[in-house]
Amino acid sequence: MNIQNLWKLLLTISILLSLAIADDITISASVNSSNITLNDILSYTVDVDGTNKIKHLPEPQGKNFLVINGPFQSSNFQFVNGKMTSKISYTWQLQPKAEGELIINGFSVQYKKKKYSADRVVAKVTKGRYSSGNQNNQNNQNAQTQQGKIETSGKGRIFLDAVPSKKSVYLGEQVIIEYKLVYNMQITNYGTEKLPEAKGFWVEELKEIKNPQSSKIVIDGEEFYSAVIKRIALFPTESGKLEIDPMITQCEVVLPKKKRNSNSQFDSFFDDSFFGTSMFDRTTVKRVIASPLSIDVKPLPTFHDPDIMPPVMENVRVTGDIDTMEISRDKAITLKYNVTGFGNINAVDFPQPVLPDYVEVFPPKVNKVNQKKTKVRGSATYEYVLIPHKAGTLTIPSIDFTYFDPTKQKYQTLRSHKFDVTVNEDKNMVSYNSGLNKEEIKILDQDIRYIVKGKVNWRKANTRFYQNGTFIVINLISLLLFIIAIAIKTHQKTIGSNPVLVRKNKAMKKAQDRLNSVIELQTSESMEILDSVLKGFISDRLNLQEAGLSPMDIKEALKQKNVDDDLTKETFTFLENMELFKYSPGALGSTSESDLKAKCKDLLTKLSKVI
Amino acid sequence: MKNLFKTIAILSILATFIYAQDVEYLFGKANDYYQQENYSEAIKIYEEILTNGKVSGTLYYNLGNAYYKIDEIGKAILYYEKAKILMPDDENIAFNLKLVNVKVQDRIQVPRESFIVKLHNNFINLFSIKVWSILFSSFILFAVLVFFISVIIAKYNFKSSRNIIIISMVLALVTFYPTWQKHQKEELTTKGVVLEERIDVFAAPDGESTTLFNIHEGTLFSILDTDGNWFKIELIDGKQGWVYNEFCEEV
Repeated sequence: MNIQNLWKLLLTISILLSLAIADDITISASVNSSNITLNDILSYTVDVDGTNKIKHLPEPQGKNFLVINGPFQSSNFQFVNGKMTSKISYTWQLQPKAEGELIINGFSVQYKKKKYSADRVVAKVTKGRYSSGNQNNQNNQNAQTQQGKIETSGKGRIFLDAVPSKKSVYLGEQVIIEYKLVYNMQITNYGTEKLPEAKGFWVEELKEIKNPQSSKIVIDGEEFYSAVIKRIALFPTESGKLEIDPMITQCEVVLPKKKRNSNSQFDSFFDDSFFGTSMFDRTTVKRVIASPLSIDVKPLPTFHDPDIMPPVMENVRVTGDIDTMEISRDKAITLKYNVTGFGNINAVDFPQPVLPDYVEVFPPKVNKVNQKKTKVRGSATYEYVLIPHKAGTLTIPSIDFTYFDPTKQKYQTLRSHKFDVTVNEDKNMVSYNSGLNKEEIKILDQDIRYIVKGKVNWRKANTRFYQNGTFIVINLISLLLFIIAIAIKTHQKTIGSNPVLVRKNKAMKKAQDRLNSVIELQTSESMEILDSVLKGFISDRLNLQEAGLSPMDIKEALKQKNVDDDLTKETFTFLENMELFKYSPGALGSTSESDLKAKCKDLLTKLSKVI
Repeated sequence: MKNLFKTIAILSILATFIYAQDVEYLFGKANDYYQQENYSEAIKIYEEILTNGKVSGTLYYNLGNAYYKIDEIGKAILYYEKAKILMPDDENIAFNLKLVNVKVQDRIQVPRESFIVKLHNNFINLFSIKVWSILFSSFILFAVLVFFISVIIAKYNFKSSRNIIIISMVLALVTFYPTWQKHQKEELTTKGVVLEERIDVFAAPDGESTTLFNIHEGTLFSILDTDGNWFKIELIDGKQGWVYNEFCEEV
């Protein structure tokens, strides 16, 4: 792009701009309020749209006012929808002179050879709260005025005004009282000495005003400042004409030596008293007493249910909230209701939800908070915990909350949400199953079996298995048998461990075995066996060496054992005969083998009894 | 001296006889009241017999019936349970207990058991503790008998008898296990019944502690422990907690 082109572009823009600026302008005049009192200062503003080139406007002309300040200029330059607009405003402060109509005449201005005009503006002026008549009557420090007690101090004046939000209220309705400090002198500090006493009211102090905002007013043609320094909320507890005692404040004021600077701001005294007053200014403490008030309290219209006292509230909102719409049986649901509105929330009693019997309802957690800013605004929360013990759809019905609305002057009812909660059967739950099985349903309508009469077995309870008779008997038998068996076993063991005893015990058996082995008759061998039967038996029994044992030895041994002489002799004879027969079987003669065997047996029996 | 003993013996026998007569009379009287549907009077006399220290399954059963008739489910169950201890196999008690239990609000379901646990429980519940204990002692007796015989008859081959003894001892052990289990579960555990309409079960023996759950009149529980006026209880589904003992009674 070369320089020439750039110039062209700039030229186009400037032409466009000048075209925009050259558009028609409009002039309008307005006031901040069309209804004012004699105490108020009216702001008169003239807006010029389309240019900011008009530098001078004529001072407002008209009827029934004085220009006390102005003009204040403010200009404004902006693009709207790609179009540049400029605007300039001029504001004057006007002070009404008398009740009636305040008229500001219309005017016209020349701009670029064109004439533009603004319409005339009318405002209605009524009697001020602080009338000059009262001011004039007041001539000393204790003079009472309708508005309050005015303390004068030199040329400066100060008084406290109590302004109720309403003069006539319903029982329980909130009334706000604003305490306004009106002054035209320098105040360095202030404090409340005594709060108003209000019998028949419940008093709530509202949020402390730390930074009072002052505004200019006019009394009797003189400029004052007015600032709200305290607000209280009152709730009438009884009906009738109720009196509120005045509030008393103490103000530290500077005694002026010269006319105050009318532009000084109230705030400066609170922010910085050191710089606000010079070291040579004299200060003094003034007791400022507010005016007493009376308020008419009307009783509430009768409510259809005399047991219920609906609270008096405004701008009420009722909400219901539930944490879940689907839950398992025997699990907790949280149900919340919230009521908010202007008024005393402590008077609110929210109705309890009506629920089926199978729902366990815990007492609600109630949280009531009153917010105290410029008005008491309360919030009440009711938190219920519910446990349904049955599956299905649980309907939490809507709740009607009734209150008295003082602005509408009638009872109002708000309805909360209705909730349908799905309660599921939980298979994992183990308890509280209300269902009965078929068998149980069958016996449900039956009666119990009749009592038992007749012989009764009165006894001590056998609560342990080891106290059972059969059990005891069987175990005793086992024990006895065991002991016996063990005893026998021990006995046998003792016997087995002694070789002499073993030999002795086995003697008879050995002898009998030998005797039975004699089968073939008349052989020297069988003779020998028969001989050894007796010899062996005696030697076993008497623990003697069998080999080389002679009949004589046996005779001696038997004698020693005190065996009967006849038996000894018999045995000796038998053994001697056997010696003989062994070597000469012919000597046997007529004696048969079986006779010998019988004899041997007989001797064994006899001997076994003595040895 | 001998004479003195004799007199004392005779006197004491006489006293118990008269006493028994007295109890018999009272029991009859209470039964008459029951028949006349004067249940509260019947209860009064049944309980008088109990305070005299005489117990019987029948008495408990009748008392349970009387309480059922005046709609005291908790007490009815309490006395039926007491009767069941004395007469475990009585059909009337079992029937009435089942009937009354239908009216109990808490319907506690036993949690599902694993296969092994089921098998184990089925085995233990095969017989009553009485039968199990007699089976156990019989096997012991058999083993001892075999041993005895083997000792007596020296000829008898000890090796084969030893095997028989080992087998019967194993069987004795097998039967002792359910006997012991049942003894622990049924004889040593004290049970309790809720007598109030609804009571809270706490996490600790302290009314300020967390409420775990509620149980209602007639619910049976095992008492695991006691601490002052508190019972540590366990429901059949295994839930545990503490209850104040004023609201329930031991079976």
